Amino acid sequence: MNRGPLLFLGAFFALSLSWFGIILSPQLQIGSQNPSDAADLGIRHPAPRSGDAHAGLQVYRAAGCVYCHSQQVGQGGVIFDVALTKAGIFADDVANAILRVNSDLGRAVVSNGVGNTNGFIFMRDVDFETADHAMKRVGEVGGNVETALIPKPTGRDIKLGWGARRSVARDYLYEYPVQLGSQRIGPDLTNIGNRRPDAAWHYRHLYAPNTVIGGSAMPGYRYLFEEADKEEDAVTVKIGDQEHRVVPTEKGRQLVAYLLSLRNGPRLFETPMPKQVKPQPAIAVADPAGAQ
Amino acid sequence: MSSVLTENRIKSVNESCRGPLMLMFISAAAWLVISAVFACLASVRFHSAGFLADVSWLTYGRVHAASMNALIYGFAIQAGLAVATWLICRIGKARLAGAMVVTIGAGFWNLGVTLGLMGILCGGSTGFEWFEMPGQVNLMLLAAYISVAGFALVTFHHRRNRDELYPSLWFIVAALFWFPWIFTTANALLIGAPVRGTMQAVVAWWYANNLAAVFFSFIGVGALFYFIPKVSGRNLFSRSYLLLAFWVTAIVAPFGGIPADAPVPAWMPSMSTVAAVLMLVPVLAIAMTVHSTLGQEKCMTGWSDSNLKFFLFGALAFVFGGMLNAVGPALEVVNHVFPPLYNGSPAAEVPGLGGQIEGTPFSQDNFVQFTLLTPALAQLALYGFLGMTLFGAIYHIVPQLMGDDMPSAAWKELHWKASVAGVALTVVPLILGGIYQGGQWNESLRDFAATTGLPVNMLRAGLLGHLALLLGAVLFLANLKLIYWRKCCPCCVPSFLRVAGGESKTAEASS
Repeated sequence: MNRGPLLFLGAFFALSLSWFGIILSPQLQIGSQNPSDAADLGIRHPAPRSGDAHAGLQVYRAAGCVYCHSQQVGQGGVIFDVALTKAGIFADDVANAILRVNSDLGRAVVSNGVGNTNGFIFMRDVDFETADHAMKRVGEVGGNVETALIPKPTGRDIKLGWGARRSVARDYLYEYPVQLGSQRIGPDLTNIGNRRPDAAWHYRHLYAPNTVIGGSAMPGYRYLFEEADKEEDAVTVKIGDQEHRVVPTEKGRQLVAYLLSLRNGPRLFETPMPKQVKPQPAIAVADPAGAQ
Repeated sequence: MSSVLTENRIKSVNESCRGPLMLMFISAAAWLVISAVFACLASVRFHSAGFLADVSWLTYGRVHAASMNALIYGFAIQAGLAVATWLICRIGKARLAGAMVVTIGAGFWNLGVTLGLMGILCGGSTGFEWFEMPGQVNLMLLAAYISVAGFALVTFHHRRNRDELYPSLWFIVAALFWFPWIFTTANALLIGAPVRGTMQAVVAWWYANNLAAVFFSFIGVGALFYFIPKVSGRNLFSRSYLLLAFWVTAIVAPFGGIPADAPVPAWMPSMSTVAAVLMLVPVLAIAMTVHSTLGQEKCMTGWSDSNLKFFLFGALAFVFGGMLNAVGPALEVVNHVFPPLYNGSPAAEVPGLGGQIEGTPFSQDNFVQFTLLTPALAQLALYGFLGMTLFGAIYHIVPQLMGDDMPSAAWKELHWKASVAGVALTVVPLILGGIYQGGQWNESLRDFAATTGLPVNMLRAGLLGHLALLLGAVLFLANLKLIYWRKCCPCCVPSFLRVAGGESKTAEASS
């Protein structure tokens, strides 16, 4: 390797390769995504923010909240429930088939469940192979029997209540800048609007984090507040023995409006989830009967 | 006779570099001090939540961003560019072309960084990590970069030494091309005509990863393989290992940087995981070349050499960081190639985490994402590898430029000790905190707040490290300032400023 031009072309080639790989191809794949109709809820997702919440993203960006908080929910995988939605004409055979695939259930529970027209979950929290096997065994009985597979996202973030499902590219269509974050010195904020729906809580927390969450490492954001002159919209914060009565500035209001607008999205095509209408919980309720 | 000619040639090369490079070295050292001050302020915020909470421009998110940007753009890129320029002149035995334009360019670079940092402190950050400076200053930075790097490349074109290109030059010349391309791409796609949704995050990751894994690596590795043989007086062990390292880094490294589990198409994090594992190849090739060049014995005794130890530390940090970077991804690859191995691991206890289910992301249980391991590795690469290598390079170059020894060997020694202590105290606690977080989060976790105590204490411990780094940076700056004042005052300071000093009068008289 002895020539400048070769070096130039080599570097150019290597860099273009990664440009095509990491910039152009995902842009072609997800760059022109559109909001999706979440049909069972009658809403379009995502929806652009407006007013204070829209301006609040810029307060969030300017304060650098992203260095401690992520806005992306991960998912370890999907586990499945299997439900019987229609028993068909051979109800007894169906009940026997269910008992064969899931011997943990008592006969009384099963015959009760098969008679239930709202759907009967006869397997919970299994992997896809097991669920598929069970559906095939029950389906073999025939006579218009119908079963349904209910996918449920699982994993650390979901157990923590940070969201009902993982975040996907479509969730961020209207964000600029997108604040995914790379650190979790504080908790993830994807779903903070659902987890903490109270604006006054957020004001107290931003003013003096320690007073609402003991041992919190978050710095205070007192510059987003001023001393209260009107009593009605003031927030009272107790620090030690002192009571502070403060009102948020415009920026403080915008930031909290933005935080309240952060909600984990609904079920989308790319994120299989249970439908919003929950089937009857059969196993937990039927315990006493199963003991007989 | 010819050696006298060569000596004169080198002297003339150094003279041509003196003005612009001294400006860049001293400014870089000044940014290092500023970065350390901001880093201390940021760490203090973890000790006291109420401290300075009334001042918007001193809030954690802003001082942290200011500290990182001062370190990256003020120190690392500037000093790296200056060292690269000197290496091109020195190895090519050519005088620096357009020294005046380079000086002006360096001036504008510093102006751009100053404005950018003020922008961040006033709340104008772009919100993209490592690319926070407001878009308005980027055009100035780009123009400044091109006037410096452009003339470095012109000098490279006019090199007198037409032997086979020395390996350091492959790395350095490629790096000089690299930065403007990634910088303009990031500007166009994040600020000029922003792409939609998570594509912004993808572009930002791509930029930051290229900057760290390619640009900084190339500058640092290029410098290492000039200075290690030079300072130790040994021959470079092998060009072919370095050729391998060069091409694998250039082609594979830019595919890294997409975190596992990011809300992007699943093939992207998978590709980055594989790239991170493949990056072990150049890391090992470089480790091997350093080791074989120095030999077993010199690797040990080199630590007592006042210059070589900086390069040894840099090489060690590069290799250690590169390996640590690959551990998480390597485990993931093992999990997916040999799923049975999965069953023994704690992750397997979470139902459905087997990874064989269609439509699920690559995997969640990696140790790296969202943990303090990420900033630990960044700090190790920026300060431990690149910073230390550049310190060593500057301590080697500046005496040659100025024709004089460094004013204080004791300060240099103290700078070394403070930097080692500082890197250790900022990196090791973060690594421990990161591993703790990773371990805690991989268990079926119910309460997040219960796991934040130790990591936050590790961030608090970072204050000590940043204070040590601040001390080192101040001594570094003082040493550079002093040699500059001592040599340049007599001839550079305008006459009306030096009527009082008797010494400068005689200097004036003699000229």
